[in-house]
Amino acid sequence: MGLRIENLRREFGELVAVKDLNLTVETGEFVSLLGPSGCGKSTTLNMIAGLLHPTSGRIFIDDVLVNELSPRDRRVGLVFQNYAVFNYMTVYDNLAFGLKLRKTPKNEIDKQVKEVADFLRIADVLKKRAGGLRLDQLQRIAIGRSMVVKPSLFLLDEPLSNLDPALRAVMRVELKKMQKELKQTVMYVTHDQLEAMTMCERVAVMNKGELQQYDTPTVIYHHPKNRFVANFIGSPSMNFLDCSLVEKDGKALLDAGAFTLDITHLHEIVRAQATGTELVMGVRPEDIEIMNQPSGADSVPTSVYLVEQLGAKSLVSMSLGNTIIKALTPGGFRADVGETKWIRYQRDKIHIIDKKTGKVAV
Amino acid sequence: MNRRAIGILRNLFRYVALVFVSLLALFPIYWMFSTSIKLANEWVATPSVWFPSKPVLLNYQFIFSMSYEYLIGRVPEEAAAFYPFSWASMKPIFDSLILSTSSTLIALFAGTLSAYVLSRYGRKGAPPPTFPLMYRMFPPVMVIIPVVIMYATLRLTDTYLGIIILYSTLTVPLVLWLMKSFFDEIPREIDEAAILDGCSLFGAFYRGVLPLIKAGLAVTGLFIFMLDWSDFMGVLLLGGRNVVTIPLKLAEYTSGHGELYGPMAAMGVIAVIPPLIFGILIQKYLVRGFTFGAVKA
Repeated sequence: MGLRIENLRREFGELVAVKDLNLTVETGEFVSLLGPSGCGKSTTLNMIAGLLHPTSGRIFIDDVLVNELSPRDRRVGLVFQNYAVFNYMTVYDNLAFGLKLRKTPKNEIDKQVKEVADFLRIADVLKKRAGGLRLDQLQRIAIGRSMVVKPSLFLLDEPLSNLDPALRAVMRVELKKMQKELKQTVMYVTHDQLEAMTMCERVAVMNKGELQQYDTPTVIYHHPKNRFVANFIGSPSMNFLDCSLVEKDGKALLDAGAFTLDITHLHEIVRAQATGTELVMGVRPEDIEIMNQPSGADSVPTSVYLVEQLGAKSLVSMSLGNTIIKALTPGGFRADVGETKWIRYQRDKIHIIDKKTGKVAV
Repeated sequence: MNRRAIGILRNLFRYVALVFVSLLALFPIYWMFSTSIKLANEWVATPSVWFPSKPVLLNYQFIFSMSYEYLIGRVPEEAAAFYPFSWASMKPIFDSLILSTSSTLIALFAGTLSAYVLSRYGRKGAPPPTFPLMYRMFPPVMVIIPVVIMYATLRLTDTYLGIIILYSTLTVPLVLWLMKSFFDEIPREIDEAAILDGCSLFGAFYRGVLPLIKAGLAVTGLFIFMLDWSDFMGVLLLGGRNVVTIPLKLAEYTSGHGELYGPMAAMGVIAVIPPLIFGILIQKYLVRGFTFGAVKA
């Protein structure tokens, strides 16, 4: 097991930054901690690295309890958002820093630094001072400096957020490739769901210090556990409609005011999972079909509010009662504002959420 | 007039202005230097003597001898016999160097370490502590009287240790204040990276952060050195016989016969040299140190 966290908790005075977190990362796995700012993901990372003491809970790295170990003895590499490269040193000295402190013999240092520099493609700037280099080169140095001491766990704290979008895409691919080649256990902290979803094998979504869901990107996207995850993952985000469960003539209907939806086939599950009849229906923009004519009983008339052209897709906002519903359609969608269109939900893709608990029932 | 001519004119004007300002700033130094090589009758002559009619080293010979009598009207050629060089005359220079250097080093050491601790381990977002600065909220005269009394009791009066303690305690708050602002500019991640790479807490400070603020350290050092170097009151009240610094010696050149401007100027020229050397040594850091904070590193 690469990393195991048991009931980890950290309080700052009144504030509980991390609330009884349990998490395991397999050796060689690429896992991300995803959440909005202030959700406790950086606090968690700092505790794993040993820069911060947990209030309670235990951390195991490679099945060794590390709570009382100093950062250097944890064999953890940490790459910071702002890189924290020593810019008055040469690239070589930056890479050699950790090895020198560990009193590694000189020729050994030389060998390992060259190896890492080749791997990260910064061999040509080894003799230069880190100060004047490009951002992505600094990024590589930061990664290299942690890599050179061969950590058992690699922690990355929003490493790409200082790069421009084009470089970010490049580094995303390279990081992923690097991790695969080295079979390195990586924990990647980010607030960017695109990075988490594309690079990681499992994603831990956090909010307000609590773990919301920990699963593969596909499961998290298609089967969110609660309203927070459903809302946070996916861009543009999911539509939510307040509705209530009505039973009539042996059928179960979802009454949203402007329309009703037959959910008889889901009735049993909803009844078992939900605490009451107050529900929220969630549906992703791409799971809504827009039609010019009503077709079938499920069609709901709406009026077009705004059309945004995204290129390959068009994002259409439509008003339905008091709410705005967003739908993704193939690019080039044309409609006048105020024009009436019919929409249909893909029935097997809707989520039904308990309004009181926020738990996703279906 | 074409554009080129305007450009040349503008440059010309710029240089004239710069030369003017430089002259203004350098003139007192020129006046000190020229007075130091003038004969007595030209020191305060009317009209002023802009260039010494006959440059002499008389004043320098005087200050480097132990003679207390300045023989006005003597021909310079006889000076060597009248003013034999004496090592004892170097005492004010040595005293100044010893006191200023050691006080500066002590203040830098104590101030920098405390500044680092306050910057890193103080409460995040807490306002910087003002109590160290309270020392400088009032003129030093206010503390000096109690200090004189305390020193008399502690038998520290007229000792090197006493003056060094006085200088370093008065300047540590300044070092702390200045250095803390330099440390605050360095992201904490630098320390954390160093710690993860295997440094101790002190190692993170010494190997990680300190090299980044060499400029700030050098400039703070120069600033403190010049403060100590130019102190008059402290050494006037607490020194005198055993401890004699340059400013104190300068005061001695006011005698019953009037002001000995020539020797004063000569001593002034000598006094400028150490800070000047210090300044030249750290020249490459000066601009960076002064603009630290204004420009992001």
